[in-house]
Parts: sequence; structure tokens; C-alpha cells
Amino acid sequence: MKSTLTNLAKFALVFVLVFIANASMGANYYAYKSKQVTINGGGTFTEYKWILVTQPDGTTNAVIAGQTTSALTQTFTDEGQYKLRLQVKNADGCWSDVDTNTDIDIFVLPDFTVTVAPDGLIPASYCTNADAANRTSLKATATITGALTLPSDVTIALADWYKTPSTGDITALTAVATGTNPYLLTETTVGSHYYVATGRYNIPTGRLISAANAAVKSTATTITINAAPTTPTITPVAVN
Amino acid sequence: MFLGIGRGSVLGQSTRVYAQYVGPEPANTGGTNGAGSANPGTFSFSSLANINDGNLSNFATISATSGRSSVIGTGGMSTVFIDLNFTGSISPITGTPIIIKLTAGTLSQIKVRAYNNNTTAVGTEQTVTSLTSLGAGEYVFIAPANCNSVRITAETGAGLLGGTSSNNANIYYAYILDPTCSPASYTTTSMTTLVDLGSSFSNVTSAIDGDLTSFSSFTVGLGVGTTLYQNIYFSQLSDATDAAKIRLSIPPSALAAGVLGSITIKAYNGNTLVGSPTSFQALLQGTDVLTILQAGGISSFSFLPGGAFNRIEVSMSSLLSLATSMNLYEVQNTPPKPTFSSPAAKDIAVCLGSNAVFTSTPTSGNELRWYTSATGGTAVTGNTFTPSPAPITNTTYYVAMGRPGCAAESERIPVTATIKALPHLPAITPSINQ
Repeated sequence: MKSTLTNLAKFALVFVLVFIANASMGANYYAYKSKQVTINGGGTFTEYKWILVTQPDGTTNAVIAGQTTSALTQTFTDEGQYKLRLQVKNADGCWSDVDTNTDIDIFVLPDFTVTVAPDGLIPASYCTNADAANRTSLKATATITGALTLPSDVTIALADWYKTPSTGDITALTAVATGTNPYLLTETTVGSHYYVATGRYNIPTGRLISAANAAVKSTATTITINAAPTTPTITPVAVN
Repeated sequence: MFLGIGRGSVLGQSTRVYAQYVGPEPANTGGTNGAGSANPGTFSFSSLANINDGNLSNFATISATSGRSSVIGTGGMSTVFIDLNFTGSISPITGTPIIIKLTAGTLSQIKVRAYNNNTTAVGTEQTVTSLTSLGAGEYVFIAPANCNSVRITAETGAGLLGGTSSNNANIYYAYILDPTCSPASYTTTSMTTLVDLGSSFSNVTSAIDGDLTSFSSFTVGLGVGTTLYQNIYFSQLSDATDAAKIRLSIPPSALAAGVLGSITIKAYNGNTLVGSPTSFQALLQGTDVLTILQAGGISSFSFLPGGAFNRIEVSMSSLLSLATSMNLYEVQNTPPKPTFSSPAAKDIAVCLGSNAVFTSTPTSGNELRWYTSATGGTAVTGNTFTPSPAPITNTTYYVAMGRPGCAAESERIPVTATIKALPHLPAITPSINQ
């Protein structure tokens, strides 16, 4: 059983944790929380009315104040699903009809954390001479903050691994592996080693409408590599 | 010098309020016995119940005979009278035409006077021969003040040379019109001319019969200085802001010959002209009535005298080169046509999908009636009109002002809802960051 798990890890290029429990429909567009988005209405009209038809907090049909031009700039501070509607007013003072077909859905992505732990039976230490089957394999896991469920077409990619000089420092990172989760350590130097994993959202191309967030880092996980004992000299006891 | 000829008078149609004889005799009757050395005068009554029986063809009779004196003496004059009472809530007020039907032996000695409660005389006594005759024994007695009865008195002459003089009156009825809707009571016609060839009226009561499809015809023949007049008398003095709605048609050929300038409308309060004589041509300036007339249609328009009136005179004069005619369908006393004061407007532009809401305020005691057509149709009443269904194309509606419960109403004026197209909603295009 242990051997089977190890082989899967070796062949996997990228392991993605997909949060599919209670998967929801995909949104038209995605944005990061607290990042500004710009949405264009087009045309030349006297006035534009941007309406949040639905919001995560249950508010409906809220006209966005102070946004009456063709370009809406908006920063969403709450994660979750929004439905945005536009109405325009022409020179005759007439507002366009409501056309739900032109509404767009925006999903504001929630924050998440990344944690790292030894995967499998090998603990957070091994000996310098341990072969692959006996070295530590680290596995990263992402956990969404809050109770939100991600749309089905968005995932969190956890595949980049780093080393850092000390346990409290996750700024001076040195890449050690990409595209793998779990990560089978290769370090053989005796001592303590500190590993950090990162995660980021994997969003369908052409549908992110805010600036991207930086990758989310885990805290540093300490791995101890012990020196192998010196090979003893076999000294037979002569009896003659 | 003009010659006045061809005068005639006839009744209009509306709810009549008949005066009653409140008996039994001798209540509300009386007389005087003329002196006579041989025989004193006498007076008598018969069939007084006929006044109240609803049969308009029978009558009560009051009779008087003078006193008779000796052969060389003179018998004294006798009189006999009957009071007819308006016993209901509606009674004559100043200016109310009271229509009385009677025949008499000597009409010039039949007199009429208004009373209150049969005891207080109102105004002066008038002989029947001085009253406007409507024909068929009907006469118009104008109430000189508020009153609730009329006294009809028959007088005899003096008995001469040992003889007697007698007189009697057969009294059929006396009535006024319920003034609630200010109906026309009666109409008269007359003509003045220097030389006339064939001018005439016909069906003159059709101008006041409440039937908007029947008409009084004016036919003005070739002639010099001929003018036909039709006067319409109303049951009461109008409000100062009231209008006269006049409905007529004119042959297009006469229009082309310039007949509009020969038609004049005047309003009167009694015999006093209210406002100025108004040329029909001037009245139509700026309206679409002319277009309707040119197409041979029937046009209704409101004439606003600018003061209270109880008579409208419509006259038509001859042209030198053309015999002309005019059909006068109806003349009514109505509230003025509605007006719109800013910010209310009679022409409203709305966006497609929204409804036009028209608002106006009627003059006191009146109501606004909104229609979807220039004629006919069913009115929606109220100060505010919201069309149902909401218009989706440019639409004209019409509004008139009338008295609640009364069919007569002002000229309908058009109000328009102009529908503005909605903008085409552009696509929403977010700025993509990947």
C-alpha cells in the first residue's frame, strides 16, 4: 500500500485540490476580493446606471452610487456571487428596458490558507542515507476562509515548493520544486530544513477581471535530516 | 331699413317639472265679482284636477262674468284666478322660463304673475299676449325673481249697456325644466332682410332636443341683406365661466365661398349682450374645426362668452353670389373646455413602456371626461387620466368637461402621448486581466 501511494506521487505532474463539495455553477467572471475591477458599458448615452441585482449579503437591486458613466470601477470587499446589470438613458430621457440576458455574474474569490504536513508514513525527519521510499513527502492543503463554495470551474493549484533559511521566515524563498504535490524531499544534508508551499487560484482564461493576488504561502515546515550512523567495523572474536 | 319677418318659437326637450294645483277648491283660487245693479259678476272653476293628472291634453277652466247693471249702466269687471304651485324641490329662480299652455276667450285679458307661497307677488303682472308665444297655446313667462307659484288671472271687460262681459281660460299646464344640466328651454327664429329669395328654417327644435344627430337647418337664399337668427334660451343663467357648445356642419362649397364670415354667435343675459359678437371665422382660428368642416363633417366647438348667459344667438347672413346653408345640430350650455396649467401638459412625451399620465383640474362643480376618440366612446372620469392599455405608439386622446350626471359636455380637446424609443442596451464588457 505504501508503495502504491509513492508511485502515484511520482507520476502526478500537478495535484490540485479541488473543492467540489456542493459545486456551484461557474460565473461569467471572477475577481479577487478588494481588487478594483473596471467594467465597460459601451455606447454614448446620457447616463448609465449600474445595478447589483444580487449580492452575497442578500441585498438586491442596489444601484451603485456615484457610477453614472460607461466605465464602472468597483472594488468588491465581500466574497461571493454578484449579478451586475446595466441600464442606459438616452438623450430623450428614456432608460433602456431591463434585459436579464445582458446581466453578468461576477464571483469574488474568497481568501484561503495553505498548510503543509508530511504525507504518508514517513515523519518529518529522515536519515541522510534514506532512499526515496524512506524520505519525507510533504503535502500541501488549501482551506477556504469561510463557508463559501467555489464554482466548479475554479480550483486552487498547490504545486510550488520553496526552502527558507529559518522557520519564521517565509520571505527569502528558494524554489526547490514546481508542479508537484505531494513533494518528495531530496535533501540529504544533515540538519533542519524549512519548507514552504504556495497556492493560487486556477481561473479559466479570459475571465479574471481584477488584478491577480500574490500566491498564498504556507508557514514553514521543519524537516530534520539526521546523520546516518557510522558503519561499524565487524570484528570477529577469535577463539583460537 | 331691415324688415323683421318670419319670427317663430318652439320648445326644447328635457325633464319637465310641472306646477300643481294644490286644492281642494277654493284653496289657491279666487276672484272678484264685478259690481252690477242688476246682477253682480260671478267667477267659477271647473276640472281643476286636470292640472295634476299628467294628461297634457285636458285642462282646467277658470271663468268669470262681469256684473250686469241696468240698461244704461255699466257692470263691473270680474276676475278669476288660479295659483299653480311648484311643490317640489325645484322651483323657478330669476330668469327661469315658465312654459304655460292655455287658451282663452280673450287672450289679451289673461294675465300671469309670479308669487311666493301664493301670497307674495313677485314682479309685475304680464298679459299673455306680451309673452313669447311658442305656438299651440304655449307661452313663455320669465320668472322675474325666485318664486314658487304662478297666478293665472282671467279678467272680463265691463258689462255695457245692460249686458255682461265674460272671459275664461283653459289651462293645460305650466312647467319649468329641471335646471340641473342647464338645458335649453326653447328656441326662437327670426329673419331680417331687404330682398330675400327663399331663405328659411326647418326643424328648429332639433338644435335643442338633446339629439346630437338631428339638426335645425338654416337655408339662406340669394338675396340682399338677409340674415337668419336662431336664439336658444336656457333654463337658467349659466355660470360666468361656462361655455356654449355649438355643433354644426356647413357644406364645403359654402365654406369655399366664405360663408364662415357670415356666421355670428352672440351670448345674452336676458337682453344684455355678453361679451362681443363673435364671427365664426374668428372662432375657428387656430383650431382643427375648420379641417373637419372642410371635409363635410360635423364639428363641435366651445364658445366662451366670458360671462354668465342664458341665451345664445346663432345667425347666418346671405352672400351675394351663393345660396348657402348650415345645419345646427345642438347648442348646449356646458362647462368650458379643459385647460392645462404648467406643469400639467396636454401633450406628454413618455418612454416606451411607461404610461402617460394626463392631469387637469375642472372648474368648480364639474368633472373631466377622457376619451379615446374625438366623438362617441365611453368616458373615463377624473382629474387624472392614465390610458389603459398604456400607449405603445404616438396616441391622441380627448378630454372634455361636463357636469356630473349631465350628458352635455364641452368641446373635446385632443391630448397627445408621444412615445419615445428606448435606448438599445449595450453589452457589458469587463476589462480582462488574464
